[in-house]
Amino acid sequence: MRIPVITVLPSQEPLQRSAAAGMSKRGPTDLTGVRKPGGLTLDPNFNAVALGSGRVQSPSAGTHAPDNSATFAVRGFVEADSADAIPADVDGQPIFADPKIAPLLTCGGTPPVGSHSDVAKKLDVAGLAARGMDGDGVAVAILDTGINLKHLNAKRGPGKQPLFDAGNSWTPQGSTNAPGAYPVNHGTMCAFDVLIAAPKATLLDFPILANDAPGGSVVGQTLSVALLGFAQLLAFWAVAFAPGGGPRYRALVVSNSWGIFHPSWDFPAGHPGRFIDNPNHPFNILVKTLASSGADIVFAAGNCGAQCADGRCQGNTKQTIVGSSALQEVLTLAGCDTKDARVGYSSQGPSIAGMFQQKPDLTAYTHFSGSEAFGVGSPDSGTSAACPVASGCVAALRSKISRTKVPPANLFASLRTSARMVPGQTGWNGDYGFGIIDPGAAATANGVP
Amino acid sequence: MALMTVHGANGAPSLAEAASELGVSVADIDDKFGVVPIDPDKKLYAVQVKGSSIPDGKAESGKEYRGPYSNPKIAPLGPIQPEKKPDEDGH
Repeated sequence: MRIPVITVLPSQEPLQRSAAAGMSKRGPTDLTGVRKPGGLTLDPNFNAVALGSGRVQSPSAGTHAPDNSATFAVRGFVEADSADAIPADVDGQPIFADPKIAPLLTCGGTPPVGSHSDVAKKLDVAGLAARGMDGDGVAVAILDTGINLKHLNAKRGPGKQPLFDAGNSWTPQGSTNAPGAYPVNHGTMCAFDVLIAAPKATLLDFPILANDAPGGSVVGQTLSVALLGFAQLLAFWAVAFAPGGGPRYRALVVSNSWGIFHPSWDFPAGHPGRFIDNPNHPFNILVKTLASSGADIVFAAGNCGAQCADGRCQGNTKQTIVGSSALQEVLTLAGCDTKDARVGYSSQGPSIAGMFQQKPDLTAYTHFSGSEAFGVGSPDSGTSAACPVASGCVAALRSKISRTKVPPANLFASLRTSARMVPGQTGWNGDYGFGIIDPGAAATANGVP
Repeated sequence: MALMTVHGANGAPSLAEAASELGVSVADIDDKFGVVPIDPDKKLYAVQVKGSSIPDGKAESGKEYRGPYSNPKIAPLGPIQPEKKPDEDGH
């Protein structure tokens, strides 16, 4: 196998020329004629680097000038049978490792990486709006802790108040809050993030995770509450065709930034009533029913990525895309920061056995400064933020792409094929899915001028 | 409480019809949850049955499994928590 290495060679004219070219930001020069060990192949694309005297005791700028330098670092390759068989030297010339390096991963405690404005630039929201794709006429249901409109209005500023449909929002039985008046929390973050790409979408508040949802304050939020919320959406969208019901909207996007952190939250493996790996669980059936009725359903992949999983994952980082997030009928989102680097907590595919395996579908932006729902300076984070960012992209597309001509499965397929792959990616992988969401490219693929 | 499924040949069954189909008393069905459509085309509905009356989970040979289905705790996927809290376990 070919092993990249670094070694140090004595001064010679080709190396002086190469180092001078590098310092003046010119391309690599010809290294033919360099005296080197026979077992070392020089990398022709790497400029030599002047090391001066080669001693650390007395470094100075003068001795590092290519003409004066006594030694030069070069990059090259040696052959070895395996990583364990890499020699310490080549023909007596010491060699050093040239390991792959990567930027530090964004994790839970990392400050925001960029802002919602950066996300808007990365998604070319201005370009989408110029093509008429801004979420106009599209309803986006936020199934979460509830929305606080006052906070949204304050963060978005004058003239940018979101459209809100209180009448078609869902109020859980016994709730003491009106739609849009829930405490500032996770749901408000999700609503803010939808509006990045779809500022003219109409928000629907479905507070399935609110503390005053049925049973919420006693036993915590459970799947049956989400089931009630989805049933209400099904009634709203597929059944309630009366004026003022679903047909007043072009499309319905359903954004789900919630999930299960560990299998211990569910029935034991092998139980026929288990949720996380069972496409026939009543909730999963209902999700598929709503999808087949023409709703675009988006789910977060989860926060159990191998590099810095949420503590509630209990160290389990394999097959952590579970439940409805692992249904073929939904669009499942991994998360990356605004520098396109996958965040270390983003759950990785393939999904849990028994469910659709090629998840996540796509990656969208997270961990940026946006809603500040968790305090000044706090990031919109988790695949929780990536999901509504993508939901906003879907809503923007639906302003121009008919749900009858391009049903959810087809729209999601075009988002997958038009996704922007990261360097080195050749197809689906467990980190990014098919790549980073590119709504403009998806629009073009669907014939939007 | 556990989720169970019932059928309704003529639309959503009443609580009494759902209880009869499952072999439990009507008082064992969660009336606040009600009868929730999950696949109207297949005439399939969900109900919640109180813990003490939940039939065992073994599907009878040749019969469709109707539950109990799990009703696990769910949580927002953010912000990231560094370590598990004691009360985050279970469902």
